[in-house]
Amino acid sequence: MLKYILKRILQMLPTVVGVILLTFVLFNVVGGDLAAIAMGKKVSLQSMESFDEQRGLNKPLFFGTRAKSRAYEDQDFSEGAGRWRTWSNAVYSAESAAVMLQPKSAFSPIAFKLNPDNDFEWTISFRGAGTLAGRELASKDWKTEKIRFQGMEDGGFSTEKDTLEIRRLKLRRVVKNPFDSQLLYYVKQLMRGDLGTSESLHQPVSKLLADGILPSLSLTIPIFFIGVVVSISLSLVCAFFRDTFIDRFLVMFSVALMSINYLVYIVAGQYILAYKHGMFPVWGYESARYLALPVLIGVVSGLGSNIRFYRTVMLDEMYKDYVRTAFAKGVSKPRVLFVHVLKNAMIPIITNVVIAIPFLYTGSLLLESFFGIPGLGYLGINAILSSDIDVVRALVLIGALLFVVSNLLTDICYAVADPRVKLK
Amino acid sequence: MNMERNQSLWGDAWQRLKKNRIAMACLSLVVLFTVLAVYGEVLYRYHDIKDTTPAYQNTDLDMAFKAPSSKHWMGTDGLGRDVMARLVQGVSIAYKVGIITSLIAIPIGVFFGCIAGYFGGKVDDFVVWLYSTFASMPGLLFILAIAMVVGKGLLGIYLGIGLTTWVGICRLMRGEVIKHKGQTYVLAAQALGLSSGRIIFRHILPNVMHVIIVTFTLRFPAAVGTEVFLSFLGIGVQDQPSWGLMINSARMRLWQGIWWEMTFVTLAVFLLVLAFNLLGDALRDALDPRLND
Amino acid sequence: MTTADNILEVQNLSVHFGHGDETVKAVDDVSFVVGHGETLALVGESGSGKSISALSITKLTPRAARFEGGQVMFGGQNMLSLSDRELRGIRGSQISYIFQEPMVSFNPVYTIGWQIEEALKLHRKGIDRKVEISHLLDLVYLPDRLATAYPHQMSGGQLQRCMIAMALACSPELLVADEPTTALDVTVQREILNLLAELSKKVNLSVLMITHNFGIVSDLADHVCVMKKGKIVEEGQTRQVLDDPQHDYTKQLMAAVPRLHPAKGGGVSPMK
Ligand SMILES: Nc1ncnc2c1ncn2[C@@H]1O[C@H](COP(=O)(O)OP(=O)(O)OP(=O)(O)O)[C@@H](O)[C@H]1O
Ligand SMILES: [Mg+2]
Repeated sequence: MLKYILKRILQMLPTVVGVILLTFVLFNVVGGDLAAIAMGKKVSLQSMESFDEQRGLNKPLFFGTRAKSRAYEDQDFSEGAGRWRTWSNAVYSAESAAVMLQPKSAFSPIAFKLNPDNDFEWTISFRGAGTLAGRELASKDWKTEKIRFQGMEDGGFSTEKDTLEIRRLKLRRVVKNPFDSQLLYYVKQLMRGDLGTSESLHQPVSKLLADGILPSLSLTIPIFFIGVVVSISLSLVCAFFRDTFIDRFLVMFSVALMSINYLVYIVAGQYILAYKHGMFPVWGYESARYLALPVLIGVVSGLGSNIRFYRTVMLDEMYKDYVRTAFAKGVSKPRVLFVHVLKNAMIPIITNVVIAIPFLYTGSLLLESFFGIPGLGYLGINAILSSDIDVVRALVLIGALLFVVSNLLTDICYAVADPRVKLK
Repeated sequence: MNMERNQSLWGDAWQRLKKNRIAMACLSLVVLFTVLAVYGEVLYRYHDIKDTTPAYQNTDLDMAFKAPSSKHWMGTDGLGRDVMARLVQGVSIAYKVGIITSLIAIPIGVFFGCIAGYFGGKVDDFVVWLYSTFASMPGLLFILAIAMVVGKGLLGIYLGIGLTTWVGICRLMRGEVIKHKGQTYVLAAQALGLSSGRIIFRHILPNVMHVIIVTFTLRFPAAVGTEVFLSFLGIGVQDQPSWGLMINSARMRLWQGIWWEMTFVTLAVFLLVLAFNLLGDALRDALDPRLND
Repeated sequence: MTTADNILEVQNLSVHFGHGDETVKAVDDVSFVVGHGETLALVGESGSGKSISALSITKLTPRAARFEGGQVMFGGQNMLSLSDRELRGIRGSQISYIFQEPMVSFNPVYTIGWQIEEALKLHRKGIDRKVEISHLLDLVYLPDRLATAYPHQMSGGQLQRCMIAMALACSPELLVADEPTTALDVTVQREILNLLAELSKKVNLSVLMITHNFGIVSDLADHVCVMKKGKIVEEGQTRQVLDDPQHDYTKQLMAAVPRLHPAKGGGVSPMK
């Protein structure tokens, strides 16, 4: 048994790696400019840079010796002058797809003071003569050069009597350790148990999670248990009366339940039961009474699909040969159902039940925000609406990891419930 | 030979479906919704090209919050817009979401499922790893996260739903292809030296087409439901009359006794989802080979 | 009514599936009798209605089956008109079944001992069940320790022996064996058949034996009925039917068993 569990844990590892990679890819690679998503485009470049710095976003994604800096955005003048338009000493010509620095001018395109501890590197395609970051540039024909300088030096241009034409210009930070990437930063951060800081609430994410978990569980655990008991009982009713009016009615009923949008349950429940008839409090999280309506809505909204699932499981079992054997022995129908079928059906049922555990943690996104329950679902919705990256990422990641763990639990339950598994 | 078998499978399924009165009712409903969706889309394009304001965007503050009447069968909303016209427009958005997310999810799922089932070994390991990873993601939150990262609007919804729901069909296809791989017609094709791609996509795929069709019918309503939800939260559709947005605005007014917008929109969502769910079930039953025994 | 000699009389039994043009007459006006202590063999190709006939005796037929007439007389009563409760009293105690696939006919999550004990619990009060179980396992030449084994831990042959033990647990008067050896290895088939023959002699058991195999018929059966498409096309004493089959269908069936007629049987089987 122990060996089996160890083996399963080992098999679980690739999925854990996958989950970490996927959240990384989603937020760091696909997400692109997280600072812009989180703070909008109107903030200064410098505060974006410090946002990046804090989250390791100013590093290369996976591996690399150079990283972008917000101090100067890459520019290819064949696509227009961009920010250079505002500098009076630079004349843009669309024809030659270049800007020309006038003689006797000096200025720096770097938007803010660079980090003095780092080395930086310009990559420039130019023609003419001048200096950049203190290095002489001189060439009659188009030429590309790389110029390395330190963060505390002045990285700007100056020209004497000649003009300097620039076609392309890139600024890169030199990364000392090429493995010091965003991915590594992320993994290290996770190893430390650091989930980041909420941008909108100015608190560590781990604290927010710790605060939210109890309200969430107080809502989801009752929903979960009541839901499982009710839907298994109803599915047994279906199995017992299969192909009769009762079974058909329950099937139609559960399809109808399934087809009602979740929103409608909430809106209608809140409006009709709480507001119109005053049977429940409308909003708040003060006593158990406040949970009654959200729990009711949670149970009812999940009922349809659960009944259908459990019914299919039960009926699949009912058609197996061992059921006929039991009947041939003279076993009564209730006993066949409860003693023979139910124990076999427990195997898929356990899977379904255990797999739902991670959702207990995420809480019920909408129920919580509608009823003002300060749980993780509430936190999650607000984080999404205010683009609070760290919170969303932490919620997604932990949800996924819990799912992987529950998968493991399912398999262990399997091994306990099903004598056939132990041998494998 | 197996083409013929296929034809008769569809023929038989259709015969059985025709006898199922509920399924036929749902099918008519689906056809009706489809017509409305096409109509809505044409209307939208027409006004877009002509650069005029379509009826469903016509605001008339004097007519705000009017109960259903002979002029506005389903009443008007807070800006005096006709609820029915907006509802019809909502159908076309719901359809767009249902279809485009399927166009993202189904090819991904079918492709990975087929190669995993057919080649087995390392390919299979990789695909299984990939879908277990995706399956581990917490459903709705993951969709929301994708939509957040991609940005507000329909694109976020398409990608969010499309990129998360391919897992189910991938699993199904993998199972089906493994089942078919050992069958004689596949072995015969292999013996003829046909390329793997040809065997998978020209020989096996037509035989598992019914799985794809049933999956499509059943995931369609789920996608519509999710869109309603996302738009409700303000993450999805921004300026078009999506059902989620309508529910959101109607929700506030409900407390003042303005029931019509809420009622008709929820009814529309319910009917669309119900029709697809029931039709999908009926299709599955009609195509289920277990019942053919 | 049942005459003194016969334990079971099936009279004009019809069982149908489906409605309208899709009606399948699985059993169509079938009559046969099983005498006390006798073995009747029911043979016929796949789908000819043998299993449905056998299951009809205690109404174990699938839910979709419709009884369209006829009687099943057993112990002076018509089984088809009994209530569910009365039928349960007879199933397993007076009429027992052995099914074709031992591997799936046991409940996978309970031990063999538990499943035999369940039959004893239902029909035999006031006995020491532990002792009885080991006695039953002895009867089918299995060691006692297998009582604590799960079905998946045993071979097909062992399981079929357990099935026989379970069927005999409450000393039934009639044993219905539905192709008890088809799913087993050829070597094991022989053992199981010998065991059945031995036990039915020992306790004077009447047997309704369903089979494809004329070898089995000639070895075990006193009488034989040949079924085709839900109807009985030929019946009689085993020797008589085997030596001089009247119906073409019977001849075909016999020809399809290579063991009996190796010279003719080499070709493709007309069955299936
Ligand atoms: N559940 C069912 N629904 C519909 N038809 C059925 C069902 N079970 C059996 N039948 C029909 O009844 C007929 C007789 O089936 P039965 O199982 O008695 O055949 P059999 O002679 O035992 O065949 P085999 O040798 O393969 O076991 C078959 O043609 C089949 O079509
Ligand atoms: Mg049979």
